[in-house]
Amino acid sequence: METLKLVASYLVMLVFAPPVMLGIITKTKAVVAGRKGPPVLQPLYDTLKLLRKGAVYSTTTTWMFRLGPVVSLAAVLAASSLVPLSGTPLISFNGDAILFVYLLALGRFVTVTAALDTGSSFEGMGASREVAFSSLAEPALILAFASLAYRSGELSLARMFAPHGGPGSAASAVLALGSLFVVLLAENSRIPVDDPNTHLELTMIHEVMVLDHGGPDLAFILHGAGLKLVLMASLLVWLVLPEMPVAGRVGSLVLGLAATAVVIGLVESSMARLRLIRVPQLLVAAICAATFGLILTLR
Amino acid sequence: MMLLLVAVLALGVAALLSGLMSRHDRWARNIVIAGLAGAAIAGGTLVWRTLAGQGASDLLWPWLVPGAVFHIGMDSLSACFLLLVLVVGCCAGLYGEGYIAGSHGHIPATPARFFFLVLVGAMALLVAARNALLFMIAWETMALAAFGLVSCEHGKPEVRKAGLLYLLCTHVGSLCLLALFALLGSNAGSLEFSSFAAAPALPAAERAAVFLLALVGFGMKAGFMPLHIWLQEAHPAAPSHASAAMSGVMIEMGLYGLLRLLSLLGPVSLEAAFFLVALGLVTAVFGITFAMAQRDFKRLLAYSSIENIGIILTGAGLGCYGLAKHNFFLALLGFAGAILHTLNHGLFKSLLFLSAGAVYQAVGTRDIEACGGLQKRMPWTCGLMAVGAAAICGLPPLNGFMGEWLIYSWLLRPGIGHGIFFAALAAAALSVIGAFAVAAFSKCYGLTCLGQPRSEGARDARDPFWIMLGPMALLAALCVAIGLFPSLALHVAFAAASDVVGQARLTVSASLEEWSCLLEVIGLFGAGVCALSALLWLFRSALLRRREVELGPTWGCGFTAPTTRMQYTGSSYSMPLTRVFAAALATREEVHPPLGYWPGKAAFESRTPDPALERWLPVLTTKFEEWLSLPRRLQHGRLQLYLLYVSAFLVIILLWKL
Repeated sequence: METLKLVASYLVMLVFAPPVMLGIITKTKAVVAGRKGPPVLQPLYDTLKLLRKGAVYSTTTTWMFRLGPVVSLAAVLAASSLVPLSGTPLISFNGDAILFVYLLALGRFVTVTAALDTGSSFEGMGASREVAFSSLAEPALILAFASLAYRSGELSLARMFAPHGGPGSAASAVLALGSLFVVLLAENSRIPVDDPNTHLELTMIHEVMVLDHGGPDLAFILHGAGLKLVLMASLLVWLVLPEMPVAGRVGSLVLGLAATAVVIGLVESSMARLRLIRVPQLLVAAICAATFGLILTLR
Repeated sequence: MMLLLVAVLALGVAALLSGLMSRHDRWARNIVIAGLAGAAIAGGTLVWRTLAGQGASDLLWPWLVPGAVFHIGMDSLSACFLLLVLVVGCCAGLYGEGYIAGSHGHIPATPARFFFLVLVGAMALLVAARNALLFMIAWETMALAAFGLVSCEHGKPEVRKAGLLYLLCTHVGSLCLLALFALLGSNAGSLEFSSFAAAPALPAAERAAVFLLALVGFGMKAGFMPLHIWLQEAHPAAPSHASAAMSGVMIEMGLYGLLRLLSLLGPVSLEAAFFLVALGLVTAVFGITFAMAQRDFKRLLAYSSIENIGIILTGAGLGCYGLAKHNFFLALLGFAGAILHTLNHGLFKSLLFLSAGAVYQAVGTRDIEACGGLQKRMPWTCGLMAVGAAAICGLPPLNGFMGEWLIYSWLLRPGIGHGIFFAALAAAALSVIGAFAVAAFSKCYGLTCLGQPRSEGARDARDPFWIMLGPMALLAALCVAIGLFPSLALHVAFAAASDVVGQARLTVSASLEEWSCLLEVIGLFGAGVCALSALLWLFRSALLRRREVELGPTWGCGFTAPTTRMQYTGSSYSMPLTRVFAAALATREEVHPPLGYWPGKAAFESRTPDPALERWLPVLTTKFEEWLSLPRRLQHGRLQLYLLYVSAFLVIILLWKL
């Protein structure tokens, strides 16, 4: 019965958390800009609509193009089983944090090759930026994970992101939080690294890679991207949020995710996208913050 | 042990016969295949028995050579490397037959066959040698056979240059090894490996000398960072099946040498272990950064071999750290990571070289910018290349992840004491290497195989015959199999690692179980990803079944007349990262922009030369040449003076003897 409940709450999170979180971000941005904005569930309606559509494939493309969305969604789904999405994770073992990072890399690899499969120079450009920026985001992620792993004594996400007392750990947690937040923005193509709502292909990163996908493929991609955001955001939430007495573990996670979405929306409302050559500097700053956090942990 | 002799003899006899049968191509081919099959059966049986714990006793034959004994033996470490030699050797050899036939006479068949079989045979003997002299003989045979393979197409000047460079480098390495064994032999009083282990400990200065000589001697072959200079020249020059065997196995013989020496001489100091880890990471970052900047896909693969050797060396260095700290568990974990990655690298790198060779033969160029669109024209080759590319990036359902995961687990393990900060930095470096590998190999695979053809050659490319596809498919299947069921490969790696560590085997075998369990979980996880993908694929097919699925041109963002030349190129693909490392890469660009009102031809060319070969080495060699030009005055071609030298020498010797 416990397992059934766990799996059921997991499924609810997997299906509803990504669109709702994206919807809250859009809503926040709209409210700040003084607009009414689309309903919070709009991304879910979009996904459902896309699932009901047919598809158009480029004559240049091969099976690699069709495989890309499928494998990237599968990789993110698999990664989600390592993250405590409903209080406890489905699977947890010593060393699963590395698996988590490399599953995200798998998703990136297939997305990039699917983009290159179209032979479009715009998509090539997006792919090129994606691999370049994530090469700088990945060490920041690993360094933040390292300091958390040393703090908790085990290299598993469930333990690393469990609440942890002690005055020394607060400072390092704040630094890890900062670098993880930058990594979250970079990996999920949010402002200031990438603007998902821009209308010029030349300046996009993630959106330009999926220009040629449509129908169910695009639905998979959008849901996968949203889920990736949820996963990284819930890691942040577990890092900060002590268990709230009212809402229980799942409830506090949901509230925390909503709050993270609002923060992301506020960040996006308050600044413009950085110039592309400035992005590596931001990511290097994240690496430095993670390194300082590590030093504080080991002190 | 007779089985090993049978395997080596089968290869040797096949090499000779294929040379004699050079007029009868069919016969020669059958002889090669029979020789490889014989070696695979005999050697495979031996490996199986050894790893199953039924080790054969050593074979000792008196030998006419003074001071030497023909002594061969087999333990798990040897068996592990012999397995790699046999698998990659047989796959590459079989592929080579198709490759030679498909080159339409560009590759001379007789030397290519002869030297390839000699190379495989020498490596099989090398891993079993238990006497320093026998080891050196096998080592030199291996090195010279590889030289023969590199300079197969000696009609081309760049191939001759690469061959000579390789010959020079390998002999510098061999010289160091001779000095090393002389030092060890004079201390032990015999050239037997077992006597090295039993000999009294060397004084500190000589220990340092042994360490440095081994590092240079074996490192030259393996390609540690400043010593790698021959690698990126020789691998593109050699025929592809030879590059596969060289990159997949031969360079790893350098690692075998280091590990064997460690197992004989015991732990190195803590500083040396730190040095090895640092050297490994520097080598790996260097290799992958330069791989990213290459346009020639075989050169890219050669640089990525340097990267993987760096990762393996990092693992070995971590093992040394454990040994130095007397923490045998950490030692075992580090060495097992290194050995597992060695096995994996042998598989996916030879797969990549073989598929790159098939592409080269079909398209007629190694330039990434001239390929493209091959996935439609050679679906099998490119599909297999995709597996290799994903495996080498260390992506989860494939084997590359396993070795890297072991090394990560070592580094991010809490409670390894001081140096933990450096461990975290090393883990970060490893993650940079992994992310760069994704960049480099999405370029290598994506720009070569996907998109639209950028040249005539690419437009007419076709898949090769089964004799080339079969070995590639086998290697790819092994990559997937180890990725999904890693426990067998892990046991082999742990058995070999415990040979390096020595007697500590029993005390830590309990925690080994835990590790193999964890790897099995990861394997199951990979299977889960595959199953999820399959489910989603079915879901997608079911959704699209009764709907309109159209074909159309790629969305050109409003531009209606795109040509294939407008696609993104490999150089522009890697530009965001190569710009970050511009100072280190020093890419040379030659720009002839369109000028004037009626611009004529414009041109742009970029090349990333190897810094060690073309910038650092000349600084050393010019000084050296100046010194060496002094004794050159003695050599001027006058016979009378030469006779005077001889008589003077004789007189000096006579006086000295008096």
